Amino acid sequence: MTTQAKRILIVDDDDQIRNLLRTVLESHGYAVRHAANGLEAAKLAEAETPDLVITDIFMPEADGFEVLAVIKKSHPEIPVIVVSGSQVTPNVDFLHLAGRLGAYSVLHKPFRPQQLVEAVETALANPSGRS
Amino acid sequence: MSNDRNQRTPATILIAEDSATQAQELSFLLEEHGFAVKAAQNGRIALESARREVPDLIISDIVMPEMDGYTFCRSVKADAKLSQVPFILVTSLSSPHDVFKGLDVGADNFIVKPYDASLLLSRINYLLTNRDLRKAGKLQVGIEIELSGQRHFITAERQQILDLLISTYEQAVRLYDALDARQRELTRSYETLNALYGIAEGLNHCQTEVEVATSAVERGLTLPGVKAGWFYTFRDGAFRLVASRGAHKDLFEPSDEPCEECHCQRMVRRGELRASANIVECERLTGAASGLRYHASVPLMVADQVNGILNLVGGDQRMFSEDELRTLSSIGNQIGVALERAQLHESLERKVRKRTAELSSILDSTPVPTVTIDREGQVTTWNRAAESVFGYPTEDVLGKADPLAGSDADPEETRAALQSGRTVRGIEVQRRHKNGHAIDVRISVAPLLGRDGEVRGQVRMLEDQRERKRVEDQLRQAQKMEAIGNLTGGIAHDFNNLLTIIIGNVDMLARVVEENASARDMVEEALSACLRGADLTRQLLAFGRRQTLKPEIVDVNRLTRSMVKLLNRTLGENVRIDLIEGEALWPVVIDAAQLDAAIVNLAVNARDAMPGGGRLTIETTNVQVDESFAASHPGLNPGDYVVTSVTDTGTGIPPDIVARIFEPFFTTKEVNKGTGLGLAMVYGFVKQSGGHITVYSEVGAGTTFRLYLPRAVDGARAGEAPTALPPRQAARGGESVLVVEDNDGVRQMVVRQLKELGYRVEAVAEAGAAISAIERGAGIDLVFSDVVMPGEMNGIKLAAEIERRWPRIKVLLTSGFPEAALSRTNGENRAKILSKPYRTDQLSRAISELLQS
Repeated sequence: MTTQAKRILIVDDDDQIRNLLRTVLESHGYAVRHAANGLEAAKLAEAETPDLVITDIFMPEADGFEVLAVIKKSHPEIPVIVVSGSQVTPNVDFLHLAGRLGAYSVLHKPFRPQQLVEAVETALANPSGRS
Repeated sequence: MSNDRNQRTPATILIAEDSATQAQELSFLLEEHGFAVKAAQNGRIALESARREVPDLIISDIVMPEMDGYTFCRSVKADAKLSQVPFILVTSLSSPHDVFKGLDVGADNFIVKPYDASLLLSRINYLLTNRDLRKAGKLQVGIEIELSGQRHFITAERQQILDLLISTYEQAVRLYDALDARQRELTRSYETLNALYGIAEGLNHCQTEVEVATSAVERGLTLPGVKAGWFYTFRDGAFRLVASRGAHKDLFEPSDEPCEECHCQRMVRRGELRASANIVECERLTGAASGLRYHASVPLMVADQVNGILNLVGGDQRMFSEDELRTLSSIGNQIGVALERAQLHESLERKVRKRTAELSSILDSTPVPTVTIDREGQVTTWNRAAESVFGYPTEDVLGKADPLAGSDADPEETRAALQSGRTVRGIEVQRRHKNGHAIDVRISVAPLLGRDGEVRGQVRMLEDQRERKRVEDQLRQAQKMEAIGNLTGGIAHDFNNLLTIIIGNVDMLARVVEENASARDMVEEALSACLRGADLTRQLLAFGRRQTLKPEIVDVNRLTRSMVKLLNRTLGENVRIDLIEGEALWPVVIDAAQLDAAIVNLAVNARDAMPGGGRLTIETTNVQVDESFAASHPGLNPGDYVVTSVTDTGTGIPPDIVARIFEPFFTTKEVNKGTGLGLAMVYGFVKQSGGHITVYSEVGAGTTFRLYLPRAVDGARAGEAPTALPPRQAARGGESVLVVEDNDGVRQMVVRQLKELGYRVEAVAEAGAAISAIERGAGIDLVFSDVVMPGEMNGIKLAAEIERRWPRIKVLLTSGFPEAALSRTNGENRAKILSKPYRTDQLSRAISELLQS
């Protein structure tokens, strides 16, 4: 924050959540871009190379897994935080899958703004280490 | 004496007889015995002949033309020259008058037709010999005789009277003897007839071989002169002694075993006993000390076939006469027919008995209560299932009115169907058990028809619907739980999003209103409610099988052991805890923290069910669930499970609510004492882990919860040999499988499994190596690859590449994430996915299905 604001890319199809995340993060001095789906996110990430990506999993068009895959392919060093609603279906634990696909950490909904900020700070402070 | 006479001049006999034939016969007889014979057709000619030449003796018939025998005799006796010639009158002696008339005319003797040759000759010789004597003592006497109410005055020579009397007496004796013989013959015939009638009559009533044999022997003994008898059957090439009477017991003991054969049986075998015959020196009789040696053997015949022998022993060492043997032969035919009939009857009886036994065993082995009734509604059949379902023993209901039927229980359709002979299928009715409780049954009825198609009764099948209803109820409950789970999970998911937004904004709002104390309090209240909502959502997600689990290999015994320490403190000293650890317990892959929580949950419920204290038993065991057990427990799949049961000695759960206890928000506890989500969370956890939970409860006795957790096969502990797995699909022709798996341990295990299944196996650690292996042309039929692998290419991409370049090669992917998760990423790919953990037979089936597709 002292030098240059870290850029965070938020990917979520729910604009209220998107706004909440942006409000919280901007109030903490981060430069926030957002996308409503995976395709948009992939383009933005390509163009602007964010320092951190926060993504939902279930979205129309390309979903969180694809966001993960794209980013991990082109910029494996960028940490990706996955936000879970209830990303477990009776048959599949998507969070576990996300972990295996290279997600940095998982943020369980509902979370308090402070928890979000802590997760972001942790990831930015040590982008290569997993939580 | 005639011989002496022959040496001199033969005596001359004059015959007066109008029948030329009889005259000739008599002449022949007399000439044969050395007499000279003259014959005349009547008295007149004979008289003339006698006057010409005086004969030594005259024999005259009585009835003749011109001059009859009496006139002839009187003429002879009146003729001085002839009066001394002995005169024999041939008479029928049919009336005493014949004698008087004979005396009157002076006949010397009488002879009765037909002649008895020896008697006639002896009379002739007597008369000739005594001729001189008679000449000497002639004495005329007169006697008055009353005979048959008539007075006769006889004047004759004493000698003549004497001769006549003697000849008459002789004749009488002869007649008596003949009569007596005739009488005896008649008696014997009567007895024989009577015995024959008795035999025929006796046979009519016989229905078995033994009855026929016994009757034949017993009645055979009523035949005149028969004192012992025994009876052999000849069937299936063997003789059996079936009955005996009056014979030596030891030697003629009836037996089911084929008997030792002697003379008469050998004759039958040689085809020599076609008619009754005397058997001399019987081997069997010789063995007896009775002294008997002879018997008659009567072949019992039907259409030329001997099917038995009746042996009869006559009295006094007597052989049977030809006549008797003929009679016996005809009896033999009668008995043979009766025996044949009895054998047929017995064989039919046997068949009927066997068929009846078969039918009743079929009826008894069907689990469906089956009952037959006659037209009057009386029970004729009551099978074992009917006994056990309705509580009425068969012997109590046979021949009585159907205890299940009653106007209230019997629908109009089934009652009408009895009379009309209609078939009715599957009507749901209630029947009452003997002890009164109602049982739901599905009744089907069909008419029992007689040979001519008339309705003779009804067969009723009464399927007990309780088990079906129980399974149906369970299935419905399982489906309901599934639906509630999906709904709850979906709502909770959306709720989480909403809560996230609310909490985030309220949190930020808190900072904005930091300076305003009352506003800050309000925001804090709102936030607190949000957090409670979040907690609720988490629990609902758990029930909806959408909680995040951290599966690991768990030794359930070790987990429960450490739980017991915790529970001892939690449950208090009123509850005693017993832990029974199953031996060689299989490992499971589950979230240990959740299993902990589930056990605590059940234990706390148990404590609440035992307000006065009690015993809590935690037991672990391996269980193999087969198809039929799974079928009766909807929601439980066949396979190996580790079962953890938690049993209390508490108040129990009433049957009407036991099915609902896993539903979310269903609680029997007072408001605020529990959320109603505890058991729902346990249920969600177990189902999400691939397992099942059951509850068994008896009010007043206690409750048992059983947690079925699937056995882990592909894990670190999977080295333990699996036992008694379901049949596997063996490789057909040693197809080649390429295994792609980055984890060394897992790879080795898979290779071993596949080799055991009969496949040729090659294994590599990552996708690139797999592509190289296929390029080398190793003749791979199928690639079995993990989805998640390090490196450029994961399993899905590998599958796509193989699909593009080698469409012939089948791909089977495996993943710790079940199929649905991967189907998104798998896209159009045709590769099949096998979820981990899998059992060997699942692997086997997946591979062989793919290879055969």
